[in-house]
Amino acid sequence: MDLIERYLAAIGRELPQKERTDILAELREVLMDKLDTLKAAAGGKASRADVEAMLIGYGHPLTIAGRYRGSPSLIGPEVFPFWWKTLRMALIVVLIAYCALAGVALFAGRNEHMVIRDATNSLQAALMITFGIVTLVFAGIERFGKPGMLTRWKPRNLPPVDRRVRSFERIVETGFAVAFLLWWVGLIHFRNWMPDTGLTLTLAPVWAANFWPILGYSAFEIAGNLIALVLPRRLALNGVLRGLKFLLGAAILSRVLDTDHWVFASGPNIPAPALAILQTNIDLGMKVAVYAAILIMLCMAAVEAWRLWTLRGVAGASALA
Amino acid sequence: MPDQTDIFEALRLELRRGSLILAVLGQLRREHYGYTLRHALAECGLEIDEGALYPMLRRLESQGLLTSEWREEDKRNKRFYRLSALGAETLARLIAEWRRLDASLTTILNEEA
Repeated sequence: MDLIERYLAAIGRELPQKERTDILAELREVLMDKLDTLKAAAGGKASRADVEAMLIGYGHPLTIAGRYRGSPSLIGPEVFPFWWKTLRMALIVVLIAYCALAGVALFAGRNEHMVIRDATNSLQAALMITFGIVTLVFAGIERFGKPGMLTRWKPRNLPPVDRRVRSFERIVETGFAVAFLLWWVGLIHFRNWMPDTGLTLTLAPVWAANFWPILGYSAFEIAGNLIALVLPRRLALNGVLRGLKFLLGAAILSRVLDTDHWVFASGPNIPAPALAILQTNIDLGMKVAVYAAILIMLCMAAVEAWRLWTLRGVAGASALA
Repeated sequence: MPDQTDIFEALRLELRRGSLILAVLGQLRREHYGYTLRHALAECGLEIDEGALYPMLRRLESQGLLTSEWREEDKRNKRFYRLSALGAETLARLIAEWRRLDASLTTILNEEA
């Protein structure tokens, strides 16, 4: 009897409170019936070993309680492929971002053993955190959301055949964008890449004046790439985000044009006339580069707009068909 | 890698899972408590594990397919289960579906033979 009560108590601890009494009452009756059968077979008295064998045969308390609870999945079969795909993408992005950062640290002259040690240690933690966050989000969708939303799709939104190449490009872009963002906010530094000449290049105040727009652009680019990686089928959304990114970039660069200098060259050992010629060439080069970048970004925005228009045409044709 | 016995066992369990519910609903057109239900099923050649039967009865009851009441029998309280009106309607539809499936499978399997 004692063993049966302990068995029932172990099951009861795993059951929802509102159903516990009712389930245990029924289980108690079932087990008492079995005990009666056991006693009858053993000539009136069942040994402790017999009762133990009976309970083992009935099942582990956690297994039995789990059957009553229905054992809900953390990530069910419907959500699982989406969780798996997102997780792979997120882990790859983290890995590439860490590789890019390690590369920057090596380029900045840090000791390679320390870079590898630090990167390995923090990468492990970052991968675990990424795993946890992605799993929590999808467990939330499984528990509170509508998993069916994930499986709604339209064939016309399927990514192009060369999507693998584009995904790789986006992952690399994201890695570089993360490295740029960290440099922009001052978390990492590049070493002077022309140490032998004694030349130092410093950014002109126009960049600091546009600190927040550039930070916003960089964050927008990273977010857009992540969305494109996670939701590659959302061609229209990704196209709009890419188009906006190019327009935003062109707008920021047009603000940056409002200056005569973008980079200041200095060097105590360089003669002033040579420095002046160098500064003029840098100014000219930067001006051409910024104009070219604006032009390229506007062209890219136009290309995205054209792609969206053709996508709309396909949608219209499908609707007519 | 699972061996052939594991694969067969997994497929057998999958095949049985849905049909067990149909058998339980069919048997509960008459009132039973767990023990007698299990024996009635066993007499028809369908063995069911107790640890699986009681949670299934509870789930079917929570879905509104069964009703239950506690009554004393043989000086002991028993929970008696019976098909509800919704359960009877659902069972009729499931039987029709089962027969369609059975007919299709019979045709397919005979063709293959």
